[in-house]
Amino acid sequence: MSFGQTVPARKRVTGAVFALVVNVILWIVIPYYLGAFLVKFVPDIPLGVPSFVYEFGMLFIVLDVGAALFQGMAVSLPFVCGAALLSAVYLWFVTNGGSLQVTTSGITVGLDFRLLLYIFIVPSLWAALRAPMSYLIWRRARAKIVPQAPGSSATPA
Amino acid sequence: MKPKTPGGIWALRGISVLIALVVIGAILAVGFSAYQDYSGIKSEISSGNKPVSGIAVYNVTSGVETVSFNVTVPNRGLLMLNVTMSCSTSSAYVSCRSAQAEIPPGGEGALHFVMTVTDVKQFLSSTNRQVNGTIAMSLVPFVSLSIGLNFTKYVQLPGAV
Repeated sequence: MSFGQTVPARKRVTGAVFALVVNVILWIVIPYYLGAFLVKFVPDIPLGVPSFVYEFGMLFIVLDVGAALFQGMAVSLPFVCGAALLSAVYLWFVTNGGSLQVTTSGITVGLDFRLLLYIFIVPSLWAALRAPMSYLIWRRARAKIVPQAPGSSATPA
Repeated sequence: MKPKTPGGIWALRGISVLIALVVIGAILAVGFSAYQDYSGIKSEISSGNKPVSGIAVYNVTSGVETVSFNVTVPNRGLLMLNVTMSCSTSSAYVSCRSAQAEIPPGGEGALHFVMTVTDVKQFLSSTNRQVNGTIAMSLVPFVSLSIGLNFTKYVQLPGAV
């Protein structure tokens, strides 16, 4: 992410449309067909796509499209941070906190991967932290470069 | 004109790359180890030439039967492999000796699990014939997989006609 340069409106709109299409495929289309596949081919195993996946998907779409639409502006910060934090929360929910268990035909299979999950969550949390830090660094750098307007306080009295 | 990227931004990018490398490294280590261990155990059990007796059932004395699982588990992965076989039951006629092996990368570990039915006749006639067995494998410290099943459903006791 770069706050150092102004992104043209046309590029931002194109980015937002692209984000919309990709996110709809990722969060609505794929889970829908995956759920239909699981129900059809593995009916014995209680696997399926829970409704919260679609709810999270809607939020992801809004946040990612917002982030793309306001790319390069301070307004994009809440969208970028929100999407990053949401992906961490989503990862936590979808993996049941890194502990999955399936019981079928008297056999219980459990998978525990908490440490791996923490490692997967770190990039999302870092992205949420990095965005405001990046914005502050760019703002500071621009304040140094941009010359003072005539008649401003920098002019000696 | 494109503004010059401040040093702080480069530092943030460096940290991002470092985090990405750690994540990719962890995924590769776990994936590679899981695949290697799976193929190693599979070939060990199916080969039959090594000290693998698989599931062996034999009589000790009349009425007392022992089900034993004796296998050598290789660890060809990059992570420490921990394998445990245990069972629990409320039946008074069954006792289990759990087996546990902590196998370092490149090493082998022997797993010898024994389930003893002290009185087969009584056990088979009793209503409580549930013996919950658990096979747990973990790639320390990242992933652990456990499979829980009713052992009596899968192990054929010779006394059971």
